Amino acid sequence: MKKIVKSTISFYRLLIEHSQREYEPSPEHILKRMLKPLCRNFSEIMEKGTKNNAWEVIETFARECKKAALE
Amino acid sequence: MSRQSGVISPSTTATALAELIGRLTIEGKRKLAKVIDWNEFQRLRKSERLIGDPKVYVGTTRDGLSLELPMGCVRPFIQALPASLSVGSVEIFAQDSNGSREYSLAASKLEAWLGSHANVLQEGSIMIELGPHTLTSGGGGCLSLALENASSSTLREIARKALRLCGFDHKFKRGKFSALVWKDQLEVSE
Repeated sequence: MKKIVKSTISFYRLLIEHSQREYEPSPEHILKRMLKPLCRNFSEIMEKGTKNNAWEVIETFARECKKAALE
Repeated sequence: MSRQSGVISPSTTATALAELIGRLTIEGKRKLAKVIDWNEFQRLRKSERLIGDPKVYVGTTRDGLSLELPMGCVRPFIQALPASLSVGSVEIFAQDSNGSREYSLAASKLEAWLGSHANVLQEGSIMIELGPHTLTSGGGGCLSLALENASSSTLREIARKALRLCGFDHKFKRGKFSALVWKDQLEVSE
């Protein structure tokens, strides 16, 4: 798996994991530590990645949603 | 509620109630004590979650550990991982405002690499592949370690090591746990 794809999936999982903690992380923490890295990755995939990379990300996001019972 | 990063915001219900009570006269407080539903109050206290960013957090996830560590503990924690996971080389995918870069190096060179990329650990994002295991960080001590077929004793050891590096200690006994430090007080759930 391409590293940018793997990294994007890792940050998405980290975001889900933060939502399930026994405390509520601050909005700044979510923004800086998960959303910004995700946005950087999305830009890089749009700029340098392939359609397959983008599809792989979405496909894995959907699987992660199912695993976390978010659907 | 404070919006400063790293500052604990106390639970909203308790704070709001304390503020309201503080403004009452003695007579007002007497009247309140007669009408308040203490069972309901207890139920509210149990259901609310603390808001904010703890000093330290170490908790199990579906496939590993999630951690919030003070910046001073991040480098020693990452440096110790190759030995804990018995891997001899690492692959790094680092990103900052200048874009992304990939590195492949021997585990023995990791310490030097981390020393020369402190800015990435603080404000960038990083993914370190340690054999089949993967560490991800969005900077600022926010880390996630996904382990591939690691024993639960290895997981507990890594979690304990993280706590010890931050000046706390607890010997975890179960497969699922979390440890939180608010205001220098370690709270463990197993």
